Amino acid sequence: MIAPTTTANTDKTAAYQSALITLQTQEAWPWLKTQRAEQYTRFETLGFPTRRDEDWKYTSVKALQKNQFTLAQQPGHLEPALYESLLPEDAVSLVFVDGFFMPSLSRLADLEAGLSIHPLSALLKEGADLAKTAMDPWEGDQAECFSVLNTALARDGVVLKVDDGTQLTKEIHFVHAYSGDAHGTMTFPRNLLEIGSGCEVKLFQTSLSADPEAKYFSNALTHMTIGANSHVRFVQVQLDSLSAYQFQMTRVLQAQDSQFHNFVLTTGGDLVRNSLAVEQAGTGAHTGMHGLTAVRAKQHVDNHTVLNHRFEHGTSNQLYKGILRDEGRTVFNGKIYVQPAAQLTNAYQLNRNLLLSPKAQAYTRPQLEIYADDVRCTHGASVGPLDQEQLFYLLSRGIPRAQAVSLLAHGFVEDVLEAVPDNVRDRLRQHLNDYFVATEIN
Amino acid sequence: MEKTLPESNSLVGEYAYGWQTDVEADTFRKGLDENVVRAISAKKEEPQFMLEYRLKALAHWKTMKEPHWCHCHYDPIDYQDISYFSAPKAAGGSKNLDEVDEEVLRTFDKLGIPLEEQKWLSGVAVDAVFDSVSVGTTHQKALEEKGVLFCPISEALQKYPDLVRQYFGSVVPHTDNFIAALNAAVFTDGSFVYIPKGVKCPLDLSTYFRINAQETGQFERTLIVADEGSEVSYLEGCTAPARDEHQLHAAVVELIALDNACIKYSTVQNWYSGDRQGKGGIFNFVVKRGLCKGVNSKISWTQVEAGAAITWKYPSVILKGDNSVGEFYSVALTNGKMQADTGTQMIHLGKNTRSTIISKGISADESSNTYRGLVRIMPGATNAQNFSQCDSMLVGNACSANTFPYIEVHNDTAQVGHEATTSKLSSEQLFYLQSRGMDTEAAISLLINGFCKDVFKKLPMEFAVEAVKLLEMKLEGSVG
Repeated sequence: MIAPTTTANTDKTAAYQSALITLQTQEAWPWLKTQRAEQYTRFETLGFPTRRDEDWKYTSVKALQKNQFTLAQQPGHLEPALYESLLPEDAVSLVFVDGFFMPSLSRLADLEAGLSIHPLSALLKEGADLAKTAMDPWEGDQAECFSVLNTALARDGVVLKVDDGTQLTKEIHFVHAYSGDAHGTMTFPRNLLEIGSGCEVKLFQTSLSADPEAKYFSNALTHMTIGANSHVRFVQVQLDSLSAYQFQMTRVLQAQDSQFHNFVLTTGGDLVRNSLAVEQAGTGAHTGMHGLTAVRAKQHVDNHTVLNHRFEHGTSNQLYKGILRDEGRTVFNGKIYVQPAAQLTNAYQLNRNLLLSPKAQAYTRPQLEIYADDVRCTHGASVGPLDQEQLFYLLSRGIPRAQAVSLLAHGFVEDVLEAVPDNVRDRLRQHLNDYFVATEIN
Repeated sequence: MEKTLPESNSLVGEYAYGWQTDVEADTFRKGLDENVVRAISAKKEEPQFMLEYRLKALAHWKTMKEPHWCHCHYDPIDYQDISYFSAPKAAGGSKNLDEVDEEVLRTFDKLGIPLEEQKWLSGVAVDAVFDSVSVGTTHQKALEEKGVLFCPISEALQKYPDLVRQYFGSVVPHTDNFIAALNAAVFTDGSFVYIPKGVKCPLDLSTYFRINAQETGQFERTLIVADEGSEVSYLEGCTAPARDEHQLHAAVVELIALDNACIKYSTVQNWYSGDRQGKGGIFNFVVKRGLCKGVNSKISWTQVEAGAAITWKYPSVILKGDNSVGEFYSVALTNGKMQADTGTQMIHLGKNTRSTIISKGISADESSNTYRGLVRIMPGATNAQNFSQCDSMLVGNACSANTFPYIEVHNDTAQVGHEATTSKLSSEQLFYLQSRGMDTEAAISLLINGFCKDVFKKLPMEFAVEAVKLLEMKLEGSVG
């Protein structure tokens, strides 16, 4: 069954349509075929966003549309050395190469009690009920072209369950690695993460590429539910090739008194869009959203956050910082809703950008939408260059300019890095060092 | 937590200006087409170029779609169901106060705007606009001595066509947006101000707008040009009768400041805001934009927005000249079912340009109050600086306050900072004042005044007093 297409869309969406046909011929389950077709039709109806859409005002996806990506037929060869240094010895890991789950590269033995992990591809093959849940279309009002496209074309990802009362000690890492053959391919990772109540979980997700030039398109969707009193940390590190299109949608539902801390570090990707939507579905929940973006060349990184305070006594803390070099662009679009019932909310939101070159561009839109009166909400934004006095001070002490700039920039981001524990911070700092080494400062 | 709403009679205060004047009016039939535009132009005895401009704007307007991105809800406006011209019969075209209809004069007296010369004492020259026409301008003589031109724009079109032509539409072209196109086609009256080189305007200039006729819209057009080294302070006030239908007020204001010139534009807006159920009230859709054309020029907007069912406006400054300065000080108060989506735009083009935005939003009852502001630093704006502060206060738990800043920086030497807070009236401060024997309303009024102080102190004296009173009156009974 092939979804009807409108002629106007045919050119732009031909690649996606052929991907749909490929998947439908490979898969056996009728429900899946039907659902894919339905979602694909929906995708065509929605169409790609344009800059006329308020949510895409500063990010154009025209360049993405010009490409004709294909689904990879098989994973390419990848040296594990590419990512191994990023994983602690005892971490649980799921490694995906070019979008395919790689059992041989992953470490899933001896899982702690209360934790179960399945690659989505295996579940889809079995036609398990869990697969249906994982593939469940996202019907929320935040559904947009990219989430629907993911539902239509997803074939691998992580389905993770943590039972009530489980305190995991080991980190869990999802690694999305792109091999030398990734050029011209597209993937649609899809994760379902269900965390029970009273749990403690540390999640990491890293995307990186063996070929620094490879042009691939990753359009990922992650659903996470967090039970009452649970504490979840999610650290995303995006080290993609400088030609890659990296789109991530993360949707989180938090029960009462839970804590969710998200951190996203981005140094890679040509066009990156991180869309993070968190809903507090119980009282006393806390949400931390932190991000550090370091762009160079012609990178464009867009962090789009929505935080929905729906119940009383919720708190949130948001800090996104950007360092911009060359012709890099950063976009921050953060929205905080405080619903009428969410009295006594305390929300904080700040976006700061450091401009290090004349052609860099920063766009920032911190937004508050408040419908309750007994609240404290503060937000702020700033864009500016390095403090010339501080720079002069360092230069006058004989510190070379490149080093002085790097020192001050490291100082600028130090407070965001404090949002993660020490051991993680050191790893993140290393990526930042790589960024400064890669960009010749003068 | 107290969840009760105030008693119905207490709040949407008595709108003190809700009465209507019975004057015989000359009102056009409803609808908008080429004939209406030609008729307006003919009524005003305009030069040919203006008619051509109007027709061009109308043709363009017809191709446009009404925008709906405003954070407000309203039923669609039928632009063919509005009369685009209404004039009190006796007053049409009167040049002399003696000729003005008694009733109209009494109206302005009642509003506290006596057009008679006693205004001398307060040192303010007034242009009063009644529906579609200007009914009288005071102090012409004193101004003429200095070479200051201050008259209705329709008069300016006849007397100084070249001057008007040079600047008209240069800041807000008719193609700019939907409202600007509509206004360019059907604008009826407004003020024209020209301050010659090096002149510091001896009086504060003021326009008072009054909508009186039913089912009409007011489309005013104001153009202020400050030539090199000149200075002017301009005040604007507005009211309308209380009616069940919505009325449209779609205005365009253009300011141009040449080298070293300074324009200060203050507004106290108190259009009728509708009743408790949100019935009636003015739709206040206004395009206000200033151009700092010359070096070291300065444009400052100060506004107190306390009326209108819907306020949708963004007084902006284009900072083109090097070292130019833009300022925006705003207090927006919404209560009842009012909706406001207001803020500013600061577009930095020149070097060393600076802008300041201070916005205070107060929402009460079931109202919605949105700040939306754009700060754009263009690549050539080296060493540009902007500071924005937007504070919102919520009074009651059925209202909403939103802050939507847009910051776009294309130059790495720019310093841009935005801060915003949203909170409720501090119960501790309230308690403190009450414990000193102050009654609740006086205490709240004091706290609100403190909250808005940064803006009020930018207003000219008379306006500051009026603004404080206005807020007090509006908030009467909204807190309990």
